[in-house]
Amino acid sequence: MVRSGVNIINLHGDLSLVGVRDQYSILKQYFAEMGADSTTGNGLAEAVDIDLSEVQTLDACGCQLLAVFIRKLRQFGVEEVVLKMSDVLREKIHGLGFDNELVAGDKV
Amino acid sequence: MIKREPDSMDIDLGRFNQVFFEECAEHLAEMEQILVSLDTGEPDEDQLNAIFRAAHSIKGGAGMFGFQDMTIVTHVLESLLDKLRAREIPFSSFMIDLFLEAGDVISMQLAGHRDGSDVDHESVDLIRARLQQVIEGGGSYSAEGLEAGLAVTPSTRSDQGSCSSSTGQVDRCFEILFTPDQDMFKRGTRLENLLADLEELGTLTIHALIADAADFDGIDPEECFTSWRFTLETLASEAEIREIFEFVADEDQLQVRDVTGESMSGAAVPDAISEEQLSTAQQMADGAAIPSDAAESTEDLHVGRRAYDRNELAPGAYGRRTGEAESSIRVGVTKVDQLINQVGELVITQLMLAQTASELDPVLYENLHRSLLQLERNTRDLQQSVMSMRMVPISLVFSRFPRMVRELAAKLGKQAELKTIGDTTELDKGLIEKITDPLTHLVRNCMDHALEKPEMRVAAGKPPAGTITLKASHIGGRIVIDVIDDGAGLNRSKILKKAYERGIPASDAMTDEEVWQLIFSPGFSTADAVTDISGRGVGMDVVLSNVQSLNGRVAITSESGKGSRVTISLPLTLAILDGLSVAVGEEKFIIPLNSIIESLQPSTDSLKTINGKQVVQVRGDYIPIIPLYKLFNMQSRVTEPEKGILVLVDVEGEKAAVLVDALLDEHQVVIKSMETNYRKVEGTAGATILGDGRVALILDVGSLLQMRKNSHGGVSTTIQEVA
Repeated sequence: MVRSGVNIINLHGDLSLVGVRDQYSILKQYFAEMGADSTTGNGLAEAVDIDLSEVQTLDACGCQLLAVFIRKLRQFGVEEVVLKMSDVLREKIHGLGFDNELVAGDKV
Repeated sequence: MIKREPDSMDIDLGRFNQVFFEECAEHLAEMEQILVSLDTGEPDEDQLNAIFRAAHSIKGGAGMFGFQDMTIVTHVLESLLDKLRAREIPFSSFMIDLFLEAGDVISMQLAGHRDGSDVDHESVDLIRARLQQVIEGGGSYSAEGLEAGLAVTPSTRSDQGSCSSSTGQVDRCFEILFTPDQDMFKRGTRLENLLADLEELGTLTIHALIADAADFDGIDPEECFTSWRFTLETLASEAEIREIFEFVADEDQLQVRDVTGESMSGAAVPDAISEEQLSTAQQMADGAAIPSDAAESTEDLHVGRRAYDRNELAPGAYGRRTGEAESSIRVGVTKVDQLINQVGELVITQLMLAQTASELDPVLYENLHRSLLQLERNTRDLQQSVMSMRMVPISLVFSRFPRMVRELAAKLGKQAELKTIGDTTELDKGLIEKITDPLTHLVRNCMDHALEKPEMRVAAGKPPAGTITLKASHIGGRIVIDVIDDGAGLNRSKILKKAYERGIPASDAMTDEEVWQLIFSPGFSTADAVTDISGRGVGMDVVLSNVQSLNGRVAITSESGKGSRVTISLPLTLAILDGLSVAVGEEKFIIPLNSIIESLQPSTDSLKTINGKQVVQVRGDYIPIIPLYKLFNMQSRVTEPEKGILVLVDVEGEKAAVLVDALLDEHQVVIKSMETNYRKVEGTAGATILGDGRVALILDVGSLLQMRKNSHGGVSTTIQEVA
């Protein structure tokens, strides 16, 4: 399987318990829009940038969703996932213990 | 990429917050009540347990609802109380004031969250430091030590980065594995608060561990499938760590291990709690079967609640007992009012049915009549049950005064004892809220003006400590609250002098009762000095107007050198009343049954006219006659008492004879507010709808007496003249 290109996912607004269900729908929609095969992920780009710069609220529930989403990308063979976020958000993720999943060099 | 704005918040935390606010206020009140009752005595075990439970519950609730700031003081307060309970620290009388101040600070924080009022963070820090100082001083406390106490702040601990502290004590290292249940997020538990608590204890490393089984496609994103592993270097004990989790972690969701001295690989994730343990914990949290050996090992571990709370039946154990939880539920006042109104309408419908059925042949329709009688009984029972839901004991108001009296006594250099009588007297919740301010002012007045200083009391042959008595009772269908003091009593000449100076109409010929009423004039004060307690003359007129706004009355009696009594009389404004319906002309009125002594048709001989005013002689007493047709300016076929019926009524010892055309029936009526539906009608306490659908005014007999006095120049004087 040969992959190329970069997909950019923009998340914005509430990535806490309050908005997590909507964000989950958006992330699921991403797979659908990319035509990703449910088992192989064929159709996905080589790299995915997740832009969190417009996320205003983030909590452990949101971090957990992001982490599971990124795991799924990896499972599909996406080699590079980059998180773009503000220092405030980065600090928040750190404070909740999701460094290893989400922050490590912002390339996870 | 599809971009969607998230929907509005799915979970309304506001209503849960409200429950917390109410419970917190109750806990604070309970705490204060016990503390004040201690005075300088040592609390017994039950009292300490009760105070502890109150502080503990506030802290737990605050943590759960995300009011992290409120756990700051309660945490230290609780720790100190715990040491007192365990006799690790001896109780000292200064602690009462300290705890009361801590309660004030928590109240302030509560108000900040509930009402958006300002919170003085300095006070929070200060009281926290003072409590901490007492803990660290083993129960001793000195003003000089406060600085030192202030220095012991959480940041001091968390700034350490090694296993030794500036105090020379050695940090311990703990590994904590927290595997919350799946509903943790949905319950509104905020992990941030928990982490902040842990960070307060020392240096914390956090590592989130997401369950391997969590698959993106199949997850419920609101469920928690993450565990957290913490490393904490701290001076705190294991119990203190567990305490932080007690409201969020069950036994099987928390593992704490002291790994002090074991080699740690820097900031790396510690392995002391193995992945196997993590897996087991995750299974347990998920409700899966637990291997027997794992179950045994968790039994050895302390669980996520304080050790002393493991026995839930032990005194002071946290949490409501099952029985307590089942004994009451919280229901909004609006809902109760709605229910009361609906039952009121049901009563009216039942009356209408009864009226209609009364015209049917009782033999032919025997079953219908029997059923309607049953309906009447059931309706009455239902109404009484519903009405009782809004009734609360006056102790809710009285309970605030012991502390106030205590503090004012200290401030004014006086000695005072507060006695309360009739604490269980029930009145409407709405009345409770509105009567609090007037009573507060009266008690302040007693302390500031009425009670003398100890030396003056001793010189007057009284005990050095004055007594203020608050007494509540149901008299004649009204709530009567007395504020009684054994102080100096009102000074007649001083009041008259002040009235002349202020241009308030007064004369030396006024009766004592009339002179006492002068103190209700706006701006009236005989206080020699204006204090921050009272004496600005902006109080008694407000007391009067507040009470009057509740259709209440205020009366004063006073005796020089012996004290005063202020009596507040309030109507039972709840929507139910036993009354006698009477006819006047074409109209019907309801006279409250509890104010009726008897009814009679007077003989001509028993009637007298004094200065154009009619009185009736009943067993030697001359009782003023109130002709309703005149008061309400109505046409009536009965204008002479001997041709009608006199209903004798008694209002707080004052009697009157109400002239009506005829007595009709006894009813239980539903009071409808005149102000809400029409406008205030003098002499009435409301209106009701009768079974025939007509509106009948409910008479306020006291107000009728006042109307007659106002229009005829004073009933009392007339009676004296006759006698």
